[in-house]
Amino acid sequence: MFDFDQFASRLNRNPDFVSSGKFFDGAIQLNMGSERVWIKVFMGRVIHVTQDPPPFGYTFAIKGSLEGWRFVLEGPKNRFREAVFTSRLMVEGNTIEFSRIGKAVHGMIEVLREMVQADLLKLTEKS
Amino acid sequence: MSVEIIGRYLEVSGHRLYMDTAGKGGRPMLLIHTAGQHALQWRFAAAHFSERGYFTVAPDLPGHGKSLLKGFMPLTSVHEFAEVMWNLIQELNLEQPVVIGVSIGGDITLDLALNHGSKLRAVVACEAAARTPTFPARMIELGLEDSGVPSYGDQGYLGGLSACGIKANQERIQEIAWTRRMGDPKIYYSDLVAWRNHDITAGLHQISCPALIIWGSEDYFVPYAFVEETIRGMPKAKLAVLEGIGHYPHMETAEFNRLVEDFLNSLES
Repeated sequence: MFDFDQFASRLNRNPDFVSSGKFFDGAIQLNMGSERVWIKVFMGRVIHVTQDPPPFGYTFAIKGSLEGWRFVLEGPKNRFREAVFTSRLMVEGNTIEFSRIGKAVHGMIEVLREMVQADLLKLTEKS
Repeated sequence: MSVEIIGRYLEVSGHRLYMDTAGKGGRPMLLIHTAGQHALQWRFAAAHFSERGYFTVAPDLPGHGKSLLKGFMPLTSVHEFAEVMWNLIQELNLEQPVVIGVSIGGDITLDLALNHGSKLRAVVACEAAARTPTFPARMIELGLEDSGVPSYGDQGYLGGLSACGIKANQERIQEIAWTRRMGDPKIYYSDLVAWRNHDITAGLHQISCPALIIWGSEDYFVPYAFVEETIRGMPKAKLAVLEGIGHYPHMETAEFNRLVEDFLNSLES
């Protein structure tokens, strides 16, 4: 489903992710259907990505069905905020931190959209 | 020819209100902005309509922009805002004004139509409805404390980008997003308290003045079901749907001005 090296590399070059994430030390988990991606971020840099989240959990998680993620990632417009507002995607954990680094999250969603467009991320269930 | 927009202050209902005005004499038109915002967002419509014989008045609602609040307590009721606007209409001696509002401004417009409709030429309520319980109570509770909404500027900016439709003018989207950075979260979220509690469904059938409801098909803050319910309660009202437009039709597209103009012209015939 994911090319993690590409993902981390693109995040670390995304200006919104880097600048807003500069004041963040935590982990973001993405649940895309049955897939899970755990991203450790320290001072604006991704330092680890894994499909096997550690037992100490995440700062916040963004969870949704593949249909919900397709709504955000596949169309001509970034509809992430609409997806959260309409509960297509759910945010769990520390929602204050989610709000605080909203620009970094926006950058991350843009990176995911780029990867879908470049066929580096396929929104399909794992076989 | 560029249109001169002139600012002025007036004491209304104990609030020191700021307003942008444009046009000399002519038919009065009151323009009411969206939640947490200010008169600046009407600069395109004010230019358009003042060049066509209207005298436009775009106030900053109490506590917004350059308008001070009486007692420094944010208003939390659409009806309270509407009564301040009615008092402004009277203070300025605006005879049979057209009232146009967007979002909470649209809710205020509908409240004015219900309570003072016989004194209004027409109303245009956009991205609004007879009731708008569309923001979660928990989100509003967080927003009423600064500690609950960190990065309010970024959130406003990104929210502005997101709230515009796919067919919105790209330069205007940037202006909408940028102006969403302005303001105070306590004012914005107090507006959302008013927005969430607004409910005039029981009185809708009493609205007698000509009314146009405008809805952008990509406005996810106002699901169409609420607009449909409003139109059902106002059988004489007209509905116009702007495809591919979001929550800020008065800024997103010039089609907004044409729609309103056609509606107002239809009243002359």
